[in-house]
Amino acid sequence: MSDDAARFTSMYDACRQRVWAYVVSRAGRQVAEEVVSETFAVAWRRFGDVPQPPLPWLLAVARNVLRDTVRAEVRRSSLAAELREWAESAEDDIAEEVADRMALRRALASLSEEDREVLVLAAWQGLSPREAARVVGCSAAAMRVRLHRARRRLTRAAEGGTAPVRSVAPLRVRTAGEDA
Amino acid sequence: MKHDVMRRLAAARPGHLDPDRPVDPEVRARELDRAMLLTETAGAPESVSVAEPAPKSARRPLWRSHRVWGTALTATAAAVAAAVIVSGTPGAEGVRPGGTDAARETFAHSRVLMAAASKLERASDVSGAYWYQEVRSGSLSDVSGKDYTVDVRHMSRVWVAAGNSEHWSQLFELGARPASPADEEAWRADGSPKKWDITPPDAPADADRQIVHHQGAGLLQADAPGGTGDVGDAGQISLAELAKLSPEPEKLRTQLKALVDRHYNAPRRILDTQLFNTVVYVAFSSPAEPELRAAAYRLLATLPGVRDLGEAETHDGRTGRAIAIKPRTVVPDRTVDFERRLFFDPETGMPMASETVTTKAHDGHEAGELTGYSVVTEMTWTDEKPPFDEDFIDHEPEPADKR
Repeated sequence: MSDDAARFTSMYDACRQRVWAYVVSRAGRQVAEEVVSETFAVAWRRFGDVPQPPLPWLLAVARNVLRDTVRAEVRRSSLAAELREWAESAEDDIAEEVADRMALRRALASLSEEDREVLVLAAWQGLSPREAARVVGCSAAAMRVRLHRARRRLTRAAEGGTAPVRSVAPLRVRTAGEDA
Repeated sequence: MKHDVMRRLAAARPGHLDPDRPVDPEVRARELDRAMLLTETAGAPESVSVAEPAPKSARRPLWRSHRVWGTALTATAAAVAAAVIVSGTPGAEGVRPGGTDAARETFAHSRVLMAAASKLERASDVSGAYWYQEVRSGSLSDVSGKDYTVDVRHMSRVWVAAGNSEHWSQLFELGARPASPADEEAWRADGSPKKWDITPPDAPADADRQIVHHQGAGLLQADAPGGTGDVGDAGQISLAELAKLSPEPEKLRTQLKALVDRHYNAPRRILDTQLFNTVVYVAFSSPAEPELRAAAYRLLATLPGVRDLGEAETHDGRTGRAIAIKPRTVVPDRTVDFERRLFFDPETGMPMASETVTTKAHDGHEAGELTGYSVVTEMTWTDEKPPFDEDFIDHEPEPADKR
């Protein structure tokens, strides 16, 4: 195996499941594998430019691929199934912790896409605000603000207890200045 | 509360999202194959157009002995998956005519663009300490359950210090208004409400409603040099990069392709759309020197799908020279076919306005309907300083219907 291929393979092995988990948290399992596959194809093509650590870069690519190639309605239904599962599935947790985990997952599922994304990047992917900012394309300071507010809303939702699982808002976010 | 909510959240991660779970060996083999051997060819017949060769080792038959069979299978599977997932326009992937190189050879020259480019190059007044640009934009949305349309309006202001060293920007929300006199009449008949629900009719029943208000929130963001604001769009280019661009159209094309590829990290089939957006950015929104802007016009003139509209009136009633561009690459989610119209000042060649217009009747939209616009209200060199030096981000979106 060439050096490139060996290094690429070890990067794949270190990051693949994280990339997959991130895509699943944003778009559900139905579309995740295709997005992950396309993400690593881009990573190979641009391998010389992949920074260390590669994960934030890979997640940012996956985010673009997801936005550019997956149709909104496909993503919506796929994600809705995933969020339902978060809210419903009880795993083999220790009994007393189950309730709290369920409450947290349910609360997370009830938040907006923006809030959920930054919380997932921080809590489930373990990224620093700076790294998470790289993924979503904002400054680290803006990410700290977003994280702070998302955390507050998560706490509120978790304490509210029975937040209903909201389905995913339409992916048609209008950006100012974009006249389309 | 026993623990910090983030720790509790980390502990609540569903088991199947655990990063330490092993990858299914079959999936692993397939994905590595696709990345290193196929490198997107399955989904991207036109990839040759943006292609620089993959790293050398990609072309070595690394896995040939035992993976050939799997590779062929994967190619088919990937093509099928792409066809399913990627936008539903017929022939979106795989069957799309691979005519990129041929198209590049055709000189779809637009007289409007070439004339505007020449006018730009005669521009004399390019002195001042700051480049200043003010753009008012709007997107037109049908009010849910009513028979009128509102114009959701924003304004952006950008300053760039001479030498392209520093950058300030502001974004304002100006509030929504009935889009036309006829819409205004229908709005009055509706009881003149001060907020509107513009959730698209195809949104799921329990999705968040999109509410817009007559009263805009005002300043949403401000970004000053040295600050930390996050104004800016993916796929665009930095001021330092702008300064290095060539005023020679073909060189410019090569440079922009490389930049788009480096920044955007997208599958190749997406890059052509991004290239188009980036050229339009340089031509229309950037603080480019006249020669560079002219080169971007000339490059635009060679893009497939450009056509002259000649003299035409903008949304705000000014007369300019216009072109229409139908982006070639299919954008997912865009169920309405649309084209972009760019208006140029007949005297100076400078950008005047940009509009997005449907080209096919669809879902209550008629062909030729305006869905969004930007009007350049200022674009000039000035000695006047930007009026702020601190960042501001209004990032607390209250639940939209409770504002």
